Amino acid sequence: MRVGRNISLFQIETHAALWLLSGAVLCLIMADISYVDLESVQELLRSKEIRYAIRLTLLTSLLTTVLAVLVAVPSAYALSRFPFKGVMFLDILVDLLMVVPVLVIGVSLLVFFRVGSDLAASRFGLPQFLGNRVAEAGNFFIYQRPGIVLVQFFCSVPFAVRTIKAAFDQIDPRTERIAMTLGCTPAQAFFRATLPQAKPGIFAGAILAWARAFGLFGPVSIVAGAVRGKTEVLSTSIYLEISIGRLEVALAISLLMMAMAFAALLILRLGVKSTVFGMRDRA
Amino acid sequence: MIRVHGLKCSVGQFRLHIDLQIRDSEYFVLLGMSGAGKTMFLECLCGLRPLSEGAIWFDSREISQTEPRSRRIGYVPQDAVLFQHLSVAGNLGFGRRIRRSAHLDPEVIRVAEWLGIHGLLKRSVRGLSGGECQRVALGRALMTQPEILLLDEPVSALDEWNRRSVCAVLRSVQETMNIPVIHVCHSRSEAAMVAGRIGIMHAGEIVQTGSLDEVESRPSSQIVARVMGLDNVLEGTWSMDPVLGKLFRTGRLVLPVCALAEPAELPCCHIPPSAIVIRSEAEGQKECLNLDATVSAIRGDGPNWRVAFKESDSLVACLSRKDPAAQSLSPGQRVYLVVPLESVQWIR
Repeated sequence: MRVGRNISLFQIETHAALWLLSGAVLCLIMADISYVDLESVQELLRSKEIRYAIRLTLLTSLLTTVLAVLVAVPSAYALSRFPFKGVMFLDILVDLLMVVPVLVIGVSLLVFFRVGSDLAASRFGLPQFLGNRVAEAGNFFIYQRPGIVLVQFFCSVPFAVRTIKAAFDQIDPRTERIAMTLGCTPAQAFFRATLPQAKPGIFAGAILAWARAFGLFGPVSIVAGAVRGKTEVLSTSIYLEISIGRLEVALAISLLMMAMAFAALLILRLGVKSTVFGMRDRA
Repeated sequence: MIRVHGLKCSVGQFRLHIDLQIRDSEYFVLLGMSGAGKTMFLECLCGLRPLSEGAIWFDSREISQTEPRSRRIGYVPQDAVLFQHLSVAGNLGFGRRIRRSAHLDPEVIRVAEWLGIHGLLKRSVRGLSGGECQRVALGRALMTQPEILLLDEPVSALDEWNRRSVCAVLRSVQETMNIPVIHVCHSRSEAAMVAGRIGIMHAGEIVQTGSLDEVESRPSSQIVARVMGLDNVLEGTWSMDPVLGKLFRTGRLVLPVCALAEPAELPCCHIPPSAIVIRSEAEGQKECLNLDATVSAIRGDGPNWRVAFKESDSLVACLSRKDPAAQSLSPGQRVYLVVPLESVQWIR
């Protein structure tokens, strides 16, 4: 059924759904804005702790993204190209990190280091040795800044693996074979023929990993704690500000996070020719 | 010379078993139906599939265990498989850059001019037509100066004009570079455009080789006849008549075998369409099969007419357009067919 010269009823229905969803998100943002006053914004800009939290959030989320992509690219490639016995089991393990509540990941990390400390007290050689190493790692991560990266990594890497694997799945495996007949080693074929074609998917995976790491709160506060000026990221700041009754400042931080996320997504979308996140392909 | 000796390769239940020799600078066309193992054979040749047994020799060099990149075999896959992130020039120069030759050299331009794609060099490969993609894939393979060229259905997805045009380029490439070419396809007409010699492949084996004419006129089996798309391949049964002796019956056709020099009771015969003579009146010629039939359709086929009949077991006759008998034929017309018994071929 056609309503106008070029518009069908179906188009109107799909557009209505999109506008309703976008409108709902805008309503939430507008509600936040209406609650924030100038004083809260000034407080946000003046506060040394919040400026520290901004720096720490950007640093940890970017570091996490780099680590996640470095691990996700080979993992996704192996999942996509080398079907071996038990691959489904490994695939499920990766997905498990995406499905379980993030708090479970935080608690599991904490328990892992605790078990390591217990093993260090063992009388047997190997468990004692391993326990000592895990306990040392625990001292490095627990209630420390590296712990933020560790927990962000575990929570965001499955998103990168899943997206990058989809990109590799879309690339014809014969591309690499042809590259090999043209003089490439298997590694050269991967780096020169496959990886460049997967670039949009890798960027998309990186965006998802970054987005997940950027806003993570629960498991971060479990593993790294919520220590003001030490392990305080922006999501922790929101929690701390609410806990002391400064809702306006918490909302100002929320708006700041939204603006940062919006800017990052916009830059990446304009910069990446991706069918997942890009806009140029539609032009 | 390429010598493939006892090559065996398996994928699941499918087994490839090939013995084949291809002379230097020979254009060899491998014909077969889908699933015959043609692509698998090419992949074995260029090292993309490991052999379970056998050896591949190129001149005095055994290449079965050599890595694909060291075999110096140019492989043009079905549907081109171009590198989507590179331009046409990037695709052409890909192999040259890997082999550490000069970066973008005049060779790219020379090959592009030769293949008629020099106007596309700066374009992305996305959006190229099928014919252009195949030319780019061919150029990409040629840029590495291969000693053998393998072409996997290089024109099967193209329209007739592009098929002819790319086939002419392929023939010219082979003649200029003077290297052996193995061209896989499943169309007799495509083979006719390029082949020096052909091989028929079925169920992982090459069942017949020879020139196109030889295979067409003497198919060794029903499978070969089917792959070649031959008309008038008739299956039948054998019986003994007290008067006429041994007979081969297929529908209305009854062939007395006493006149034929075929001792074995083969299940199938082939009557070349060009051997069937159409008469307007019954003549009862000796040593011939005489049949009455009604013309059902007349279709043009290049310089010939193909004439089909209503009652006669899907028989098709082929007449030259210049043949005076063809001028007067029309659908529905009653005619008499004369089939010389000596033209009947028996096949397995």
